[in-house]
Amino acid sequence: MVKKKTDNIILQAKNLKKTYKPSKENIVHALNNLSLDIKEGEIVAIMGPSGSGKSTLLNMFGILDKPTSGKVVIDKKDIYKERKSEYPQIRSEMVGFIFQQYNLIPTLTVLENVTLPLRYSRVKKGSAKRRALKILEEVGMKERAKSRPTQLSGGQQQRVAIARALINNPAIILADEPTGNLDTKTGDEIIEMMVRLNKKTGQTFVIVTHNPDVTRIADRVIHLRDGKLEKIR
Amino acid sequence: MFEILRNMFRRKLRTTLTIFGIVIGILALVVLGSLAEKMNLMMKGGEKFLTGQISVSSGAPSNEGGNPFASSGFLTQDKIRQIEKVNGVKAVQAGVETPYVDPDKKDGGGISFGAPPTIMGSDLNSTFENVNWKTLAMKSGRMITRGDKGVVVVGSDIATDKKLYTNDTMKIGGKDFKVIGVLEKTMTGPDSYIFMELGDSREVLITQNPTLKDLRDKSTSAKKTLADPSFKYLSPEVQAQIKQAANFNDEDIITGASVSWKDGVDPEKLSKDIKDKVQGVKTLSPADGKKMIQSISVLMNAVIVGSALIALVVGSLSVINTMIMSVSERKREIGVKKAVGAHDRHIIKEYLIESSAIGLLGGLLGLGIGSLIVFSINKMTESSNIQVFQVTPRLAIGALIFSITLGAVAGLYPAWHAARINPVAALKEE
Repeated sequence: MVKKKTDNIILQAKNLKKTYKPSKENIVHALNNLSLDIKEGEIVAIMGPSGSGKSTLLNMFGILDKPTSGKVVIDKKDIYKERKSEYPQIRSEMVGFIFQQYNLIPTLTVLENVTLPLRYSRVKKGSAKRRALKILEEVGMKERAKSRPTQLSGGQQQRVAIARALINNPAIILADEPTGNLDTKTGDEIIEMMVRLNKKTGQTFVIVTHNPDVTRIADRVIHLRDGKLEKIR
Repeated sequence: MFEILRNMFRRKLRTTLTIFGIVIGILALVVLGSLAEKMNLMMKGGEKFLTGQISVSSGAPSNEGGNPFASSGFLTQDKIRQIEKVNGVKAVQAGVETPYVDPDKKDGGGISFGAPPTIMGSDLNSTFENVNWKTLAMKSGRMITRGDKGVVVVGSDIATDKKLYTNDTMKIGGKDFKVIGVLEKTMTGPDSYIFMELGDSREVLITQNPTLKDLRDKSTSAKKTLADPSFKYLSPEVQAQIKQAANFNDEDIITGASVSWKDGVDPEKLSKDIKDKVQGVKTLSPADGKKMIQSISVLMNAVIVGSALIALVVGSLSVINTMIMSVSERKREIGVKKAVGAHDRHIIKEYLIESSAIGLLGGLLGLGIGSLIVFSINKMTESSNIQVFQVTPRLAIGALIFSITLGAVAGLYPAWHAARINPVAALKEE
C-alpha cells in the first residue's frame, strides 16, 4: 500500500533559538531564529557544514534539547509547552531516532533492541514481540531476531535501528547521518529502505546527512549555515 | 532477569569481585549470626523458665538459732516454711542444684557451650508447677514423680554423651542410679540436666563437698554425744560447740526454691513480699528474670552481629563503586534509552534492580557457604555433644533480605546519577 503525501504540516520550527555559553566571554548561537515547516510524509534532508546547527535542530525536533526561545510544533502540539515529565512519553509516541553509530544495546538481542521503546510504553510482551517480528520482516532482519548486535554487520545493525525507530509507529523519523558509518553499497540499501518505508507508511523522514545520495531521494533539501536557513531546494 | 544478569556480567571479573565482597559479609553474618541464634534459643528457654516462677535463693547472711546454713549459701527448711506462709504463694518447691562430676572425664577439659551438666534435685512431694513449663517432652520412659528414689531422668545431651537409654544405670557421686527416662532435645538448659529426687541430689552434693561431709559426720557424732548421759559433765563451752555441731541438718541443704502464685496474684508484688517477709532470701521475679536474660542477649547479639555488619558495610561500598563505574561506561546506552522514551524512573529502576541482584547473588552464595561451614563445624563437634551454631529460618531469610536491601541502598546514588544524565551529551560520547 502506498500512502499519499499530504499538505498537512506535521513538524514546525518557529523562530527557534539555541544559545550556549561555554564561558562568560564565549556565546555560541547554535540556532539563530530558525523557522521551518515540514509536511506529513515528506523526506527532508538537512545539510550544512560542521557547526551549522543540524544536530541541534534534530535534537530539538526529538524533544531532547529545549530551545532557548521559539517553538517546536509536532502534529499541532507545541511540544515545549508540555510538562518536562511528559517529554519521554511524547518522544516515544511521536518520534523515532536513527543514529549514525546505530546505538543498539549490546547485551540485548535484535528482538529485545527493537522492543526496547515498547518496554517504556508498557506494551504487553506478547504484543510487543509480534509487532517487532513484523517490522523486522519489513527490514529483512527477522531471521536474526535472536542475534546480538556484535554478531551483525554495520548495515544489519542499522536495519535493526530502523526497526526500533518504527516500532511505536511515530509520526516522524529523525535520522542523524544514518549512512555515515556504512560503505556506499550498504548505505544505498539503507536509503532505499527508508524510501520504501516512507512510501508504505507515510511517515515523515528528517535526515541530517552529508551523503549526496540522500539528497537525491529527498523531497526537499534544507541547507543550514551558522544556525540559520541558507537555502531550501 | 536474564538481561540483568547479562548487564551484570559485562565485566565478569569486576562483578565477581563485587559479589564476593557481599559473599564475605553475608558469610560472616550467617556464621556469627548462627552462633548468636544458638545462644538466643538457649536464652529463650531460660527466659521461658524464669518468667514462669519466682526463683528464691539465699540472700544476705543471718544467724538464726546457730544454724550453720543460715549464714551460708543455702536456704533452710524453716525459710521454706516461711515462704509458704506468705499470702499469695500457691506452692513452694525446694531444690538442690549441683554440678555433675563425670567420673569418665577426669580433667573436665574441653569447651562447653550452653548449660554445663547439672544435677537438678527437687522435692517431688511439692505441688509446684512452672507456669510456662509444666512438662518436658520425653523421648523415652517417664519423668520422675512423687515416690521416686534412686532414679534419674536425663537430658538429651547427657544421654548422647554417656550413651544412655531408659533402664540403663548411671553412676553419680559413686552411687548407681537407674535411668527411667530420657528427654527430647529442647535446645536449651534441660538438655544438660539430670533430674532426681531432692534427697538423692542432696546426698550427691554432700558426697562431692568435703566440707559438708565433714559437717555431717561431726553432727552425727555430736548428736550421739548429746544423747549420752556424760554430756552434762562437759564444760559449757564444749557443750555449746557440740550443740552447734548437732544443729547440722541434711534437710537444710537447699540451694534454691521455686515458687508459684495463686490465680489473680501479681507475681512481681509477691516476689517483693517474700523478700520483705522472709529474712535472708533473694528473689528473682518473672520480670527480673526476663530483664536479666534480655540484657545478656542484647549485648551478645550486638557484639556478634555488629562485627558481621561491619564486613557487610565494606562489601556494599564495592557495590557502589561498581555501579558508578557501570553508569559511567553505559552513558551512551542511557542516552539511547532516554531517546526512545525511558523516563528517569525507568533508568533508576533498572539500576536499582541490577544492584539488588548483585546483593541477592552475594546473599545466596554467602548463605550457602556460611550454612556449609556451620554444618561442618556442628558435624565435627557432634561427637562431643556440642552444637555451637544454629542457622534458623529467621537468620537465613533475614540475611537474604538484608543482602538485597544492601544492594538496593548501595545502588541508590548510582541510579540517581544515571537518571540525571543528559541524553544529548550522552549520545555524543564515544
